[in-house]
Amino acid sequence: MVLDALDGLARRLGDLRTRRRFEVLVARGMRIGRDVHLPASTWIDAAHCYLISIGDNCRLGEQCLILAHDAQMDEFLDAGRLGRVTLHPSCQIGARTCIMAGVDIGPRTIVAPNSVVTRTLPPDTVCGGNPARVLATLDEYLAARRTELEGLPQFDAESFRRMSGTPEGRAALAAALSVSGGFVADRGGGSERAG
Amino acid sequence: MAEASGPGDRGLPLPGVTDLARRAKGALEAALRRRELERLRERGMQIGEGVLIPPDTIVDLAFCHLISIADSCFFGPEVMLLAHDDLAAPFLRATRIGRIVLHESCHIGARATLLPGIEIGPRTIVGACSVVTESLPPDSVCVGDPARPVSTLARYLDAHRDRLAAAARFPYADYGVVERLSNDDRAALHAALDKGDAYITGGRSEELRGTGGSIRTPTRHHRPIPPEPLPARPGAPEKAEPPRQQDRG
Repeated sequence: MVLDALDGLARRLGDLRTRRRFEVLVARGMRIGRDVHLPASTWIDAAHCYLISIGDNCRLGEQCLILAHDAQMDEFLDAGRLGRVTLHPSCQIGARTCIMAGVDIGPRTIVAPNSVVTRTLPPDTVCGGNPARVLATLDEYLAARRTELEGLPQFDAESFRRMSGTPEGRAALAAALSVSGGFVADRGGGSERAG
Repeated sequence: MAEASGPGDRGLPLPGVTDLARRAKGALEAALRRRELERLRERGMQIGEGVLIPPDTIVDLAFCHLISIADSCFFGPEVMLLAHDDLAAPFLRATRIGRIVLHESCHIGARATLLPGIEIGPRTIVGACSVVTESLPPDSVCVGDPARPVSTLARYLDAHRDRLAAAARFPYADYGVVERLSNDDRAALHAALDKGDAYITGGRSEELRGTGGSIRTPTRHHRPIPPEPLPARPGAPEKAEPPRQQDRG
């Protein structure tokens, strides 16, 4: 119990530090829109944060990295390149994605996890890879997901939460999901937000 | 969200105290970092002079004596250096180990992974998020997973020289440190990026003079190559360079 309390305290302190960190970045010129999901584990180019802009409703996975400069030539040329990073509204960036200086993403672009974004990515597409390229249009991707959704079991968020809480519920879930998985209906919101 | 209010950040009501606390924190972090590098050297890792190796670099501690980093090397954030590979260990009952040798002035991009048994450089640039599985030739630019040479250093620098000739330039002393930037400074940088490329110039020179830049390992014997002087650009809309801080001692 003591450990749980300490853990809770540490977590709350961590949350405060994260909020303060984003406040400092915004005070220094970074733009973070409304309803943005920006995890604490994101690496942000703090020295050039005024070049980074994240639009409304963007969501980033854990441990993304956003660079707004490239100084690989600095030792030889005494000059380091700056580049703006603009995430237009409603971009969904997968975990561990690295975004390099001078790119525009979206709006409504999905970037697959572990991608390396070196060039601008067009709106309404699904992109991925190292370097990230267009893999599909958003419509194609969503059509495929919708077809998948029809064939798989679905749970509304509330009953999923209830089932996850008890051993019997979890066993029922495991039985229903088999190997292919299923879907939990999203009511929108609910996850932690920055900004 | 907090409104941007000039270069200073919101802090304690006494600006002197905030500044002092920040400086003390910086000094403590630098001292801890120096000690950390000392410990790696005691364990047998070779780290040259003028090396920029940030605290978030992930070093294979148990095998760090197999890693050698020559003078003036540069690491981006969260680079991983692995000197052993035990993926087959349960089946082979043996762990593969290999040296990682970085020659002078190698530049390793953000989140690159260096695997055992490789030699890089000298003067090789490795792109961000690359995975280096094999040795990379000197004076080259390498990217990808697995990392392969995509250009020579000369061609890469020429391309940047061309871009630099047409780009807006901002001296490091005025524009390099985010805490000192006013709203107008930031607007100037954005205006330049609207038109084309923008470069921060003179950062390396300041670093070599010891007047600014990132913290590198001290240079006592090593003489770093000075960067080449930039060709003058006619009619450059630059701020007048402020008088340089005098070198004391």
